Amino acid sequence: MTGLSLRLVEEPAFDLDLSTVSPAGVGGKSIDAVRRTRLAQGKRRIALGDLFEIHSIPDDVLEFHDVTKKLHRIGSGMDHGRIRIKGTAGHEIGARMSGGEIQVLGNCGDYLGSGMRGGTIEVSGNSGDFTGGALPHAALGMRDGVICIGKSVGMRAGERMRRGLLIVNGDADSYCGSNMIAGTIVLTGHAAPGIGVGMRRGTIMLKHEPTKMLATFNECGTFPLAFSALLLDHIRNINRKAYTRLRSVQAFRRIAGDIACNGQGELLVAAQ
Amino acid sequence: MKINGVSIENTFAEAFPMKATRIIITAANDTWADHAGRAMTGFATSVIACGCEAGIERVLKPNETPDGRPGISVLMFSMSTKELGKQIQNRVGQCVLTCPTTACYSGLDDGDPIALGKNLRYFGDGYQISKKLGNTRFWRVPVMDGEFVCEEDARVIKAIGGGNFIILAETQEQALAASERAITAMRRVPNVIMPFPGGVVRSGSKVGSKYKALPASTNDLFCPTLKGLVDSKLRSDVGAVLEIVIDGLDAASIIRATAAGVRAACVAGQKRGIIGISAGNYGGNLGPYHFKLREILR
Repeated sequence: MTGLSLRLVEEPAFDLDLSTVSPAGVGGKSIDAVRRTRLAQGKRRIALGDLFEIHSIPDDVLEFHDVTKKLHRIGSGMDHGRIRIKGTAGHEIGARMSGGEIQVLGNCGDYLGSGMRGGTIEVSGNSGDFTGGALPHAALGMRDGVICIGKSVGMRAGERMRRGLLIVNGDADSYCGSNMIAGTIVLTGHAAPGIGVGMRRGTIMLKHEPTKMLATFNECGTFPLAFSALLLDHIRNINRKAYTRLRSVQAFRRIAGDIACNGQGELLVAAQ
Repeated sequence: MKINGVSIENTFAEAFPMKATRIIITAANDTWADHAGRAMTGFATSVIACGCEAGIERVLKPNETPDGRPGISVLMFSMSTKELGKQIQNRVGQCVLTCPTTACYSGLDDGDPIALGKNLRYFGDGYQISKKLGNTRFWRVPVMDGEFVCEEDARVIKAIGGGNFIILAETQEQALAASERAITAMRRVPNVIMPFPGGVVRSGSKVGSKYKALPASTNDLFCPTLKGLVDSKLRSDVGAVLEIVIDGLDAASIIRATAAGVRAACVAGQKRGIIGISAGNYGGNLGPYHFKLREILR
């Protein structure tokens, strides 16, 4: 199968839900049929071809060009295939996805990969609030899969995360890892206050000392952990940038918490 | 057939199917990895009374182990998956978990899963931490020197036990020297272990005994001190016999190990007292795998 290139011709008047334009949704269809795909724009329905210039490409990927913040839910719920997004995407990119691969060459909005159950998302720029976290109506954040952010994330990244790996190569805004149930967050930038608030289990690995620690986290000491080598070896194949920043770390400070909520989570801070 | 004047008997080693696994043990340095490996493979010479046959396959460099530390590779063989599971749990629990700085991983990618850290994690008394990296789950169990990291499952595959050959020499000293050379050569072959002390066994056995309680007893036909009493298989000039038993993950590895071992044992040659090479079998009635010495060495 060949892929498709979708170039945004003009900025839509309203926000658009593009969850139906996925590898499963357009796979096997002719270009004309793809152009006729109906999208809800406000109270009207428009054809995909009215907004995007669509043509086939040799690469087996769904490639969105000149994406703006008004395009939401690209790759939401996808279970296979590849999507490449160029530009600044809107909210819920890759939310609830269970497989496949999304690459964002640019930034994206809130709820990136929220509730995802598998697959990989890679963002070269920044991501908004609740990255890998839980959607407003959901009990759990990401349940599996991998999210790699090239720069920074907004507030409450990894909120109520259950499993999976979230790698952030920039800074994390407030309450990163809030209410985490399990899973792993690797943060090579700086963490704003409130990191790990309410976490029950799970691991947040930090390159830098957190700005402000909650009183409900307890210092356990500094150790050369065999597990950290396993995690870094795993990261090496997923995100070279994060691996390079952490590979020289010989030992980690273990800070256990949140003792207000089970206390079996941990912050592993690279020992300087 | 002769190698350096040493007669290679036209016979075969008879081997039988077993279940096996490979476990990787790492530690802060070679010494502690070795301590754990030796403890775990202790009292594991024969399934007759030990529950399993186990040995250190080889020493691993840091770049060959999952956590980048020095390590060793251990092979364990047993007659059933159930018994192997029991042996893994007891031996890892008592010999690896207890050994300072160690961690424990599966050394096989394929095969049926069998509990490695799955049950040992409960030693953490609720403080154990599960971590799933990719498709592999690890357990981090807090211990007094830090953490014991253990992969959840090892893998069990079909394997072969009981490959062997027998060295016939004029004296005990000559038989021992030939055996040592053979073992040194065989330890370079992957996927095999020689489970007996130093890789060599002096008490080769036959099935059954005049005493009802014993399933096996001394192989009188190969005992030089009984040459005048039984229908001995030994020539008059044979003064000592030693056997090397080989367990392997596959037939090809046992063949390679046998070839390497026999050739090394024959290096000293007839002039230095190595008289012949034979192999142990039970007339083809015990096991389906027959390793014919002359075919292997051809």
